Amino acid sequence: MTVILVSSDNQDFKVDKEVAERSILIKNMLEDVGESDSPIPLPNVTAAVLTKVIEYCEHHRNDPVQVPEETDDPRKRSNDIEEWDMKFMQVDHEIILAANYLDIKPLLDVGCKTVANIIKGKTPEEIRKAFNIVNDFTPEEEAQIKKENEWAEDR
Amino acid sequence: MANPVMMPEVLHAIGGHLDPPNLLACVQVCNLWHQTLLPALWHTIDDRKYAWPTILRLYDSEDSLGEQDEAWLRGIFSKHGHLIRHFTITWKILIDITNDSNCCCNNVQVLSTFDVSENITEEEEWEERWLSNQIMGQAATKYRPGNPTAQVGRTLSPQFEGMLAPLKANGRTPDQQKRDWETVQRFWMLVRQNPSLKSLRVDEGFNRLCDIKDPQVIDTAI
Repeated sequence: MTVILVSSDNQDFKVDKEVAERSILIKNMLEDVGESDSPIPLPNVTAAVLTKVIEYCEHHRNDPVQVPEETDDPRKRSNDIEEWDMKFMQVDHEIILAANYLDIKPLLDVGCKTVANIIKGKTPEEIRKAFNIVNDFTPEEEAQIKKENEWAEDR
Repeated sequence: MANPVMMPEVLHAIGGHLDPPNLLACVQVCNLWHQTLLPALWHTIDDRKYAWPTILRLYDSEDSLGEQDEAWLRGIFSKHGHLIRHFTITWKILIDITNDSNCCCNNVQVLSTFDVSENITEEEEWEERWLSNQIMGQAATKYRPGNPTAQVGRTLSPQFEGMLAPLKANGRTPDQQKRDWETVQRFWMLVRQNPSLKSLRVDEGFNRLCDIKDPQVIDTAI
């Protein structure tokens, strides 16, 4: 069974129901309207983004639906990123690279802000994980850098 | 595929969106990030912010860790002082340390002082300073007793030199006066070792350290 999603710029996307229902919003909407062929409007999502989102959902169609974890500790979540997801997110990286190469400042800026937001509040180890960076410091070097700049601690 | 966060020019742009606590985490990530983002971390030093008050308080208190600790403070400024572009000083110890040519604070473009003094031994006064530090005192002096009209952010013109003299008496012991004058001289040495200085701002607190002979050298607020 398929459903039709309509992006904000009025493009139709024919998607397997199973795939579309990776979105809890869509899942709830489908339940509300019951058996119906009417297209689902998504006024907040452009075609370009929707293409990406569908691609993501198709890839993850067989994943178990995520149950909110018992633990409220945010550090316990979202540490591991699947390889495919990593590559998927690299499209953002591609946009940053292209913006840098083509020298389109505002676009680069948006990309850099996105990255900065990912960095915010993270420990050095969490940052390395998020961006696939290898720690090339010795433990002594790392401790020294921390000590030399400890004035910047938020306290 | 190239990782954009490993490209210095991109990293540089990212650094512009981060504050010192987040930049602190970044410089610990890897060698490239350390090299690239350290200038952003040290670009603006304001000793009223972040952990500076906690750190610098030690030097003004009786539980000061002594010479060894001061050597550490000198060490970080000799290593990174050349990166400072905007420098705001409220703690006398920083003037004592950074005027030293070994400290390499020679690229400062905007230098400001607020309420520089060493009279913070009384707990009450400390609390006030701490409080004004916390609210990021636009005017740290505002919270000091006996200085209700303190104006902050005046500009000293380049002709400043030669216009300063040691304070006469003013309730200070000769020993204190001597130290006050030393601080003023050190501050002036700090000014002189920064040829790229574009803006110099001192507050009324400076008036308590020295006699500014010609008030004309202090321009109106920026």
